Amino acid sequence: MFLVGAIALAALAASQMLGEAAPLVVTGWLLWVVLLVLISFFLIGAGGIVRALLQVSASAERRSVISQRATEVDLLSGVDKPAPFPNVEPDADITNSPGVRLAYRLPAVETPFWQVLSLAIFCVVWNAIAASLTVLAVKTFLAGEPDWFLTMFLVPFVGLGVWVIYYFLRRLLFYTGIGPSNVEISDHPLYPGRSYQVFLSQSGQLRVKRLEIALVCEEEAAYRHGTDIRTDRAQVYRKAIFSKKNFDISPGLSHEEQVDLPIPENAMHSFKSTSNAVRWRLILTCRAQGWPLIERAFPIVVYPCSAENAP
Amino acid sequence: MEPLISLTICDPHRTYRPGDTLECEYQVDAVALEEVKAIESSVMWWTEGKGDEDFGVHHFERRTVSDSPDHDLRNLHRFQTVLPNSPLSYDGRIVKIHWCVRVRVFLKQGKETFFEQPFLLGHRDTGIAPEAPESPKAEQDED
Repeated sequence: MFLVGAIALAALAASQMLGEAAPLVVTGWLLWVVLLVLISFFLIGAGGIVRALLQVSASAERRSVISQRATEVDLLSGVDKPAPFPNVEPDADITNSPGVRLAYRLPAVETPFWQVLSLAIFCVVWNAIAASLTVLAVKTFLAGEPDWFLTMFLVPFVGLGVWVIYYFLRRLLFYTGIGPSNVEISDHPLYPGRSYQVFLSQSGQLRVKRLEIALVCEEEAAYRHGTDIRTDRAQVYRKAIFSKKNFDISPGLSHEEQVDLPIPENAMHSFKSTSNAVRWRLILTCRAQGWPLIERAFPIVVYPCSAENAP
Repeated sequence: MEPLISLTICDPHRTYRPGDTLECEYQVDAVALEEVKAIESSVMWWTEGKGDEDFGVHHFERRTVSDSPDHDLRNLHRFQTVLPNSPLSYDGRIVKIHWCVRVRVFLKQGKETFFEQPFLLGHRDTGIAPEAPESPKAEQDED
C-alpha cells in the first residue's frame, strides 16, 4: 500500500509538471479526490511499516504491555482503569436478572428458543423449495412430457424435507414437554470456602427418574491444528449438590427445591484468556420416563479470595 | 559469551498472596559496559498445557543507557510491584498457570538473552484437585 501510494503520487506529480504533454491530466475537484486517496494509501502503508518494525524490534512482553495499555484506556475519560480481577470474566450477564426466591436468576448457556426457531426457519425454507419443485415436476407429468432428471433430483430433496419436519417436531416436543428449568442463586460472584443457596424450579408433565444439580469445573484449551482451531475440555470437578429419584411433576405445577451450594476452599477461580479458560457451572440433569437425558448448564463465576474479601 | 544475569526474588519462599509486594533485584555480569543497550524486567504469568500459550504482563520496566545516571545498566537494580488479585497460579489437568519474573537483556547487534525465576501467586494448594467426575451417564444403569 505504501509503495502503491508513493509510486502513484510520484506519477501524479510528474503528470502535473508535464502539463498538456502528459498522457493523462487530472484537473479540478478530481485532482483533490485522487490526491486524498493516494495520500491516505501512503500514510496507512507507512503506519503499517512502522508498526511492523516496532514488532520486530520489541520483545513479546513489551508488545503485550503496549496492547494491554491501549485496551485499558477509557476512550471517554482517557484514564487507565485496570480490572480489579484480571482474566476473570465479569458477572454482569449473570446478575442482571433478579430472581423470585433468591437474589439472581441464572441464565442458561444456550436457550432452546433460538435453536428451535432456526430449525423452524430452515424447515420452512427447505420445504417451500421442495413444494415448488414438486409442482413443477407434476406439471411436466400432466403435460405428458415428464422431466425425469427433475423427478430423480426431487426424491432425496423431498425425503430430506420430510426428515427435517420430523426432527423439528421432535425437538419442539422435547423442549415444550420437559418444561423450563429455573435456577436462582443467593449471591454472586462466588468465593472459595463460602456457602450459598440455590433454588431450583423444574416444570413440565414428567415422571422423573432422576433430577440432579451438580457443581462442575471445566478446563478449556484451544489450540491450532493446521489451519483449524480445536478446543479440548476436561471436567476436573463435579459434585452433586442435589439429587432426587422417582417422583412425578404434575402439569401446571413445578418441582421446587432450595439447597446449599458450598464452594470448595481450594477452588480455582474462573479464568479466561485468549486460548485457555477455567469455567464453573451448575449443571442440571433430568432423566424422565419417555424422554432422552436432558442437561442444562448455568454458568457461574468464582472469584479468587483477595485481601479484602478473604473469608 | 552470554552475559550472566543474576535475578533474586527477595522472599525465599516465593509464595505470595494477591496484594502482596514482590521485591526483586538483578544485575548483569560478564559483559562489557558498551555491549548492553537495554534491560527489560517483567512480572508476568503464562499458561502451559494443551492449549496455545497465553501470557499477561503485570509489571514491566524498560531501562536504557540514558535512564542510568552512570550509563551502566549492569549494576544491581531493584524493583517492586504489588501483585494482582488474579490469575492465581494453577496446576490443572489441561490448563496450568505459572508466574515468573523475567529479565531480558538487549545487546548490541540485535542479540538478546533472558533469565527468569518462577514464583507462586496464591496458596500452594490453590486450584481444585483434579478428580474423576461422577458421570451422570454412568448412573443410568442403576435406574
